[in-house]
Amino acid sequence: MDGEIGHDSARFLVRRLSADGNLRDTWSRYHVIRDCLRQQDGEFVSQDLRERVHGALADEPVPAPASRRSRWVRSAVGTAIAASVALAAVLVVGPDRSLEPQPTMESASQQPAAEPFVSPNIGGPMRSTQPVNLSGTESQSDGEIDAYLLRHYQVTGGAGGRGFVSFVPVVVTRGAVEQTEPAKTGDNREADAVRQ
Amino acid sequence: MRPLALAGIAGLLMTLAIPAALAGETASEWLERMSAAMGQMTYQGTFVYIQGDDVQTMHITHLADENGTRERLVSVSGPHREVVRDAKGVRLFSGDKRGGLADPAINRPIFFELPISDAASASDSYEFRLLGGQRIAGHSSRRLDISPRDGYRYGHSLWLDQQSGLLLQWKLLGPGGEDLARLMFTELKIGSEVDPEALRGSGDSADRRSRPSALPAEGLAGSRQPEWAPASLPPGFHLASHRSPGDTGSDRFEHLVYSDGIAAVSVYIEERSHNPDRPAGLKRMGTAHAYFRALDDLFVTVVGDVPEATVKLIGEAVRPVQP
Repeated sequence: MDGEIGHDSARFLVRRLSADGNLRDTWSRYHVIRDCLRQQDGEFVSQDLRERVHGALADEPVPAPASRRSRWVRSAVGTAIAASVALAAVLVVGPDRSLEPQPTMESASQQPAAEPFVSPNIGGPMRSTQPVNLSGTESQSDGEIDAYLLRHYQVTGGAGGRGFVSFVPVVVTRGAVEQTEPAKTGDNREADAVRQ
Repeated sequence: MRPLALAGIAGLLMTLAIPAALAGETASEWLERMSAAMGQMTYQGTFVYIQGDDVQTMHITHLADENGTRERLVSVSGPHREVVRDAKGVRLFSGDKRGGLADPAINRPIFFELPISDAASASDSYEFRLLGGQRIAGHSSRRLDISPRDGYRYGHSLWLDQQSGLLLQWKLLGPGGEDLARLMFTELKIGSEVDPEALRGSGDSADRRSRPSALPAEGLAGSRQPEWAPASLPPGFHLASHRSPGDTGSDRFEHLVYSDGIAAVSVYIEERSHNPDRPAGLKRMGTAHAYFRALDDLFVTVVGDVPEATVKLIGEAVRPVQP
């Protein structure tokens, strides 16, 4: 984890990891703790992923055994490959852009108010998110959103019974305020009345 | 009747009964257990919160005893930010440019929770599934998946402590099932193991400053009907709460809360005259979305942990309520 382990100890550890599931779990937990302490980017090493990689390697056809040394080398190499694949999978996990694309939908103002609401088709083309400058007026805007969110979470108490979890976005330190689309400004009543 | 037909009818009846019974445990029972545990138990722990490429470590201390309920949520990594909830209200302390904020208590009891609809009433909007769990932070868990039936709300995967119902891991899912955020405890103490000293604030004096919220105090509006409200709502959402400053408030301010039983959206309607140049638009903070819109001499703000399509739709549907 920190590169401080000796060469001989590393070889011994790799051999133990390949055969000891409890040790692999401990290894996983230490990595989670390390990631927490270092605040590393990226996803945690998934236990499922490790087990799948380990399982896939176990299912691989094994050539006829040669010597005791070659079995040890194969085991060590297999574990190293498993670790490398897992590490590569972790490293290639990119930023979650799932929040960026949002469904394009027909606005409610374009629907007669008296008619029952009908879910529009939300599978339309995706819209890209335009990040905004967080300095100057935007930081003031951050504060405004904080006020509305604090009140919202205080009143709802975390709808769904999740309690403090609802307040987590307020504590998230990164100013993740982005303007995705300018809204209509000015007086819309007349326009709405015309549409109705 | 032929045995095959009987078997078919029996199978159909079982299929209809399973969602309500869920093998003796219902999703709504687990939701109620979670809500009670999160609000009424004493617990303390460290968890990681992952959103996209951002990983943050936070610490929560939640005390519920004869002195009332107090809670402190603080970021361990990155700039200092914390939220304190107690009888005085909610206070946000921040060492960054966004600054701190204090919102006075507006609820009794202080940790008010919107009544959680049972799974049956929310089943039009969500599909509930109880699954086996895993060990998290040393606790055995039960997994509850709440999947949205349309694109107007998020899904949730909840891993709940088998013994207490406390939330051990939570995953927020987009309408398409994609991961949006994840929270997982790495350490959790319950009851007498909790150190109450963690409720005391830390950090320098700059970190402990907070300014009063610009929003007026509010209370339940009672039987008074809102003058402005969305003319249409996404399916499943209904008015859960209507709040206003009452007779003490000189300016127009209304706070409408809409809920589908799991998600909640706040609609604030207030005077625009104090800040006529406020920017309108659609913004995001974490997993929450906000939609701002000028409307005549009013300003409409819609916020909630829902997709941007939902806040936009509700915001654009606000109209004067016809008497």
